[in-house]
Parts: sequence; structure tokens; C-alpha cells
Amino acid sequence: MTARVPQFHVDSEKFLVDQQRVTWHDGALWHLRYKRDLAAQMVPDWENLRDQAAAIKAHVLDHIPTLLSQFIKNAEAAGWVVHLAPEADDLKRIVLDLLKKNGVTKAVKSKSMLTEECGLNHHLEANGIEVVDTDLGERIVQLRHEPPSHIVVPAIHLKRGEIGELFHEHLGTAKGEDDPLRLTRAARADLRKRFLGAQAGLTGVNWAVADSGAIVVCTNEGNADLGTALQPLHIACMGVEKLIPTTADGGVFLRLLARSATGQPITTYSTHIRGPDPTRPGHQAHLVIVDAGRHRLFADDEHRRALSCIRCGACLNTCPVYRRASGHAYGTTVPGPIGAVLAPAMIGTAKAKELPFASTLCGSCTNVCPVKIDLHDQLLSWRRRLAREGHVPFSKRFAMKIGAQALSYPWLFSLAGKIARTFWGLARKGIPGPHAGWTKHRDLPPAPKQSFRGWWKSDGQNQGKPTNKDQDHG
Amino acid sequence: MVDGAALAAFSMRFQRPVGSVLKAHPGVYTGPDLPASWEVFATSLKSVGGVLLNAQPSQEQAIQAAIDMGRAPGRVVASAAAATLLTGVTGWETARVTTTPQEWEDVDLAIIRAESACAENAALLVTSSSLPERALAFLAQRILVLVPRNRLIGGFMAAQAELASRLANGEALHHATWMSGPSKTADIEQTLVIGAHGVCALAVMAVDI
Repeated sequence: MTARVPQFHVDSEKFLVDQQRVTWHDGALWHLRYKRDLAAQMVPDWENLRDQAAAIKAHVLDHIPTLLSQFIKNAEAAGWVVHLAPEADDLKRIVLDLLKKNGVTKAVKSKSMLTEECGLNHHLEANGIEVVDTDLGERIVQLRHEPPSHIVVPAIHLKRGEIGELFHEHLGTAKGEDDPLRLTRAARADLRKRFLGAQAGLTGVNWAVADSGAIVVCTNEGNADLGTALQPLHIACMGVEKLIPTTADGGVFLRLLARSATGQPITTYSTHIRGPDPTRPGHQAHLVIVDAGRHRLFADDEHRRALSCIRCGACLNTCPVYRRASGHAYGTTVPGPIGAVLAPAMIGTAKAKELPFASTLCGSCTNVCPVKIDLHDQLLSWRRRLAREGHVPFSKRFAMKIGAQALSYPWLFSLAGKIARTFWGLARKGIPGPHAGWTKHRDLPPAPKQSFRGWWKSDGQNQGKPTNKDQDHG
Repeated sequence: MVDGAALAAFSMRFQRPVGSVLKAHPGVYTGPDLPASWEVFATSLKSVGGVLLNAQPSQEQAIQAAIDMGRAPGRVVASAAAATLLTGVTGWETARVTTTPQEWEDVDLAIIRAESACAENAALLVTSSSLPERALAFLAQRILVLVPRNRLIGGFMAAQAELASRLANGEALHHATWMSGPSKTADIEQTLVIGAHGVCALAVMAVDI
């Protein structure tokens, strides 16, 4: 993942400044969630499908060495040249060497969160190779020199006017042109030239099939197909956790992925590729299998399951925190709930200490996850570990101690309630000092006149005319 | 070939400790039995931006109409597998085997043949067997996909199972693509635009062979 230290409380603020944009962003992502719901409801066996996907992934995580050997054997038989990259630097070196050896100066690249995470583009560009991201959203953020803010819709943080301005500058569209259709057509025309002129195509991998040696790449735009069917060299990069046992298993993920991501019944193009194209003499196909920190997550019994993620983005779309803070606030390649679960293992708890707290623990992410990762439980367990390791700020630890004391002694609880009710009015105007953030974007409700216990003692029990059974709870 | 020692070292990092209870594969999932209905296919196809054409009044006339549709047609190129279905139809050329697929850049309409279609998600299967001229299907502006009428499958689990058994039986496929509708993107403000990098329009016709 990126080297910088995520500062969620600082970076989310930058996005929250523009309230209109926040409201729009929130709605746009919620619309994706809504379309996901409609799609899921149309599938009679949706829950069985999720169970099956989770079980396949659990099996995979227990059998990586076996599946990896099987996959490599079949992949090499199909003509893939397989490379292993234990670290991100190995990936960068392998890809650069391949491109240099083949005299590549221009490459096109379809979406790959892995290469984004490893900083591949920067490395290649620093070494004189032009790399053009071909997914429209990725192209937009590449032209803006910023990272994607979402793993499926990378430019969701931008408005059409900003993209129009960007395309006016880089693609020569008319000043003020902000029509999505015309902007997309302009990008299509520009990128088509690049597809035709590139000497190499780089792709990610949605999954790799052990029993056939195929990789599967899914896009709606057709960019991974145009980025592999024309160029003499194909380099695919995959995290080792992307293995699946069989082609038939792939059917389960094809049914889940696009429905969870955008509400489509399947991605527009779901392509299995096995090695070099025999109709094009000299065509080469290379596959780089990457660890780059995944073994740290793998070794963590509590969080290993997060490696099951198929990068559909459903947990981002449904997350009330992500929808308002936007992806850049997380400071990691993969943002949102899954990003906050991956980051502490991938970049270390010290660096990622804020991210597991960027959640309300409402559990919506867990409900929509197609492979049933228990995301909100994982976030909670990271919080526990962060506390144990001393990464939780003193103020939070102190408040927790006070809270525990108050909850242990009824008289203290009652006194704390009285004090709180007295000063509530002041707090509603905004909490001062280091905790001002708590009331910056939300209002406290008005304080009740009395405590529940007080109300119950005075007249509550008569008003409600409770039964004996209810009184047991009083 | 990957170096054995390097693979062993790499694999070691993902080895569960000795004595761990390893989860078995859950077995083949078949899912519900969905009807192989062209009506359902048409609905699915419409939802992904494609259109199902009737082979009326005759197959040839319907294909001819698709070629002549709308503006004056530019270059119309049929894959070798589709060409055999175009007797009596005019105004097209057969894709020749080429090492420079870039030459299809100016194709207006590609006519290809799919091996099967799936009602659940409007996916059409093309592989290196039916479409060795792979780039043609992505460079053309529009595409007409001819699919044998008796090759419609209801649910996608069954459709994918067919592909799986072909690969398991050793068919040396280089590529296999499920194609569902024309290319699309919603990367600008979530506004759906049909025609991203691949085709801008996709029509399907069920044909008798």
C-alpha cells in the first residue's frame, strides 16, 4: 500500500468542506447500493450463492500452496511465463525488466488495485515508459495525478464540470463541455489510439483458475480485452489470494461480482485468458503472482478472511462513513470498510491506527459482502488490538476508563447523568477543544428533563400501566 | 519454468500450521434450475443495453436489415464462424486471419457467432474456437451476434459448467469471453454511457443452423 500515513480525521475534513458535494457523493453511492439490492432480490438463490462463495474462499485460504502449484503447472502448460514477486519491489522490477527487454515505450493498463497498491505506474514512468490507464475513471484520476477514490468507480469524488475542465485541457474538448456522453466519446477516441499504438498491455486479474491455468478479467468498458488482444506482450499481475480451484467455481463469482458492484447481472466482458494467443506469432503472455504483505494478513487468524475480498466495492457503497468522507480520506489504495480491515495488517497497526475507527460499526458492510467477510466484527477486533498495542490516544482510553467506572457504580452513574443534563445545553452548541469534531457535523439531541429511572419512580409506572412481566425489567 | 526453490519459499508464507483443520471444498454448486426462455433472455439483454432481433421474415432478410440498419453502413466484417451463416446476404467481407488485428480499427459492424447464450444474464459465449479473430469483436463500432436457437441455457451456473467441462476435457482454448450487452461506463457522475471502449451497440439474433 501507499507509503504515506493515513490521517483520516484530517483528510476526511478536506472532502467535508463542500457539503453539496458530500450530499451528492452520498446519494450517488447509495444509488449503487440500491441497484445492488434490486439485483440481489432478483436472484432466487442469492444467500446460497454467498454461502457457496464464502466456502470456496475459505477452502482457498487453507490450500494456497496446493492450488498455487496446480495453477502454475496448468498456466505454464498453457504458455504463460509465471513470475513470483514476494515483495512490491519485485513486482516493479519484473515488469520493468520485461518491458525494457521487449523495447516497450508505451503500455496500456486496465484496472488493477494491486499495481496501484505497489506503485507500479510511478516506477515505470520514472523509467521512461508511458503507462496509460484505460478504465475511464482511472484515466480521469491519472490525468489529475491523484489516486482512485473508489475501487470500482475511481472518479466518483469528481463532478462532471471538473472532468470537462480536465478533458478540455488534456483531450481538447470544447471549453465548458460537461456532457458525460460527449466526454466519454472523447476519451474513447483518445484511448483507442493508445490501444492501437501500445507495445504492451498490463492487466489485473479478478481470479485465476487452478484447474485450467486461466486468468479471468472482468470489465464493462472492454478495456482489458482491447488491452490484451492487440499488443504483442501481455503482463498480468495478481495477488496470490486470487486463486480459485475450478472454472465452475468462477461461475459463482461471476454471478456475485457485478450484481454486488453495480447491480448488473454480470460484467459486460468476463474474459478467461490462457497464455499467449496462438494466432499471433511471437505473442508473449507473462503472469506475475504477488505477495507484497499478504502473508502478514494470512498469518493473522482473526483477519485472514479479509483475503477473500473480490473487490466489488459493495461495502464502500453502503458505508455511511465512506459515503460522506470519500475514498481519499482513507489514504490507502483500497478505502472503505474492507480497506480499513486490510490496512492494519498490510501497512502496520501504527500507521493504520485511525482507520478501524472510521466506522459506525452499523454492520451494513457485513450484510452486503458477497463473500460474507464479517467486516464490522473485524473492525471491532482491530480496535481491540490497537488498544492493546497502545495505539489508541490517551483521551479515548481515559474516557473509556471513566465510562467503565460510571457503569460499575449506580450512584456514580446517576450523578454523571445529573451533571450531563446540567451541561447538555452548552454541549449542544458544540463541544470545545480537541473533541470538537464530535459535534462539527452533527447535533446532539435535546437533553431529557429527567433520567429514565427518575421518570419511572415518579409517574412512569402508572402511565404505562405495565404488566407484572414488564415490571420485572423495571 | 518457475524455480522450484523460489516457489517453495513463496508457498511457505501461505502454509497453514501443521495440525490445522483445513476446510474442504464445498462441492459443485448448481443453483436453481432457471428456464431457457428467449423471452427471459430478451429482458435480460434489454437491461444491459442490447437488443434481440427477430429472424423475420426470414433469417437472411433480418440479417440484411441489420447490416443496412440506420446510417449508410461502413465496413462490415464477419468472423469465419459467422460467415457460414450468411449465405444470401450481401455487403460484408470475411475476416481474414491476421497477425495485425489493428486493421479492424475501421470496422463499423462485426458479425460474429456465439456458442451459447444465457437467459439469466444475457451473456453470450465466444471463445478462441468460434472467434480466433478476437480483436474484431472489440474494435468494431457495432456488433451482431448470431447464436444457434437451440444453444440457449437458462441459468448461468449451467452455462459456466459447460465451459468448465470443455476445459476439463482438454479443449485448448486460449480465450473465452462472456459478453453481456454493449460496452458501457458510468464513470462520469454515475451517468450510464453505452459505448466505452468496446462496441457501442450490440444486437443478438437466434438462428437456425
